Amino acid sequence: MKESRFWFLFLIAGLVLFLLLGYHIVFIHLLGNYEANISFQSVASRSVSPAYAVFYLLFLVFALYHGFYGLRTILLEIEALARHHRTVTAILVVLGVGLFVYGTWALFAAMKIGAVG
Amino acid sequence: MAKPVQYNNRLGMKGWWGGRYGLERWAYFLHRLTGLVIVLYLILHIFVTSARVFGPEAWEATMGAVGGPVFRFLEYLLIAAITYHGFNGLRLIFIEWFGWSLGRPRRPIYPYVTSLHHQRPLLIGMMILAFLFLVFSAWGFLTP
Ligand code: HEM
Repeated sequence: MKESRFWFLFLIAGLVLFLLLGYHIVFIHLLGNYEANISFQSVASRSVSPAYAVFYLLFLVFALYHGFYGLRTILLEIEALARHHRTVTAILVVLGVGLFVYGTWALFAAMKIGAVG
Repeated sequence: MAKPVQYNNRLGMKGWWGGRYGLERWAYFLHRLTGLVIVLYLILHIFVTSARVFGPEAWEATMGAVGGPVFRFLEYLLIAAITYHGFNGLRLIFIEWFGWSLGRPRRPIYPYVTSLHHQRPLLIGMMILAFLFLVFSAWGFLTP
């Protein structure tokens, strides 16, 4: 895929993030009682909901893609790193995919905690 | 043929904050700074919030470790960073993707015109929206 395509996907991810992150910040961090929102019970009730699982999965993908692509832009503007752009990209892809795998594992593992909470 | 003169006019990373910059350049610097801060937070956030998988005690212990007024204040700063990045990012998407406020293409005949007078109102408008969201956030933080 051409570089400009990856860049365009990064812009799309930014637009989607505006909505997902806006929702996340307003409903978890700002509205309602914060202590209650982050109590285990409240967290568990979201974790077992399939709708929230889909939300978090999309959030994870878009935020990691946008964040790591942006980080790559910054790093590749440093000349010393631009000379090794393939290595830089490879390292960022491995880190990003690693975080995605870990996050997805946590998401699915957390779906089972409903019985506990 | 003579070799072209090489001027050492590159600031490198120092150029992030050096030089006589206009409003848009500062907007770019802040966008980059907040982008970096948010990625680092995202990575931590993924690990911290996955503590739920290890049960209620692990969750409460983790939340206890990142609780208290200092973390709450840092959280507000983070929301400020995201708010700035989000609204300014939306502005960049309007310009770079939708092509808004670029002005008509015209031949580069002196005196040159700049599209800044189209773009600056968009920047200021977005910053007003960001400010309003920050006031709302402060209210959200201060009310239980
Ligand atoms: C709230 C929604 C967001 C929007 C609308 C947005 C939009 C944008 C846009 C349009 C750019 C490109 C700037 C340009 O083309 O010059 C950008 C850059 C960037 N964004 Fe975001 N973004 C958002 C959220 C995030 C999040 C959550 C992260 C971190 C995970 C992030 C990290 C970055 C980074 C690291 C850059 C690169 C900065 C640079 O090249 O100087 N952004 N963002």
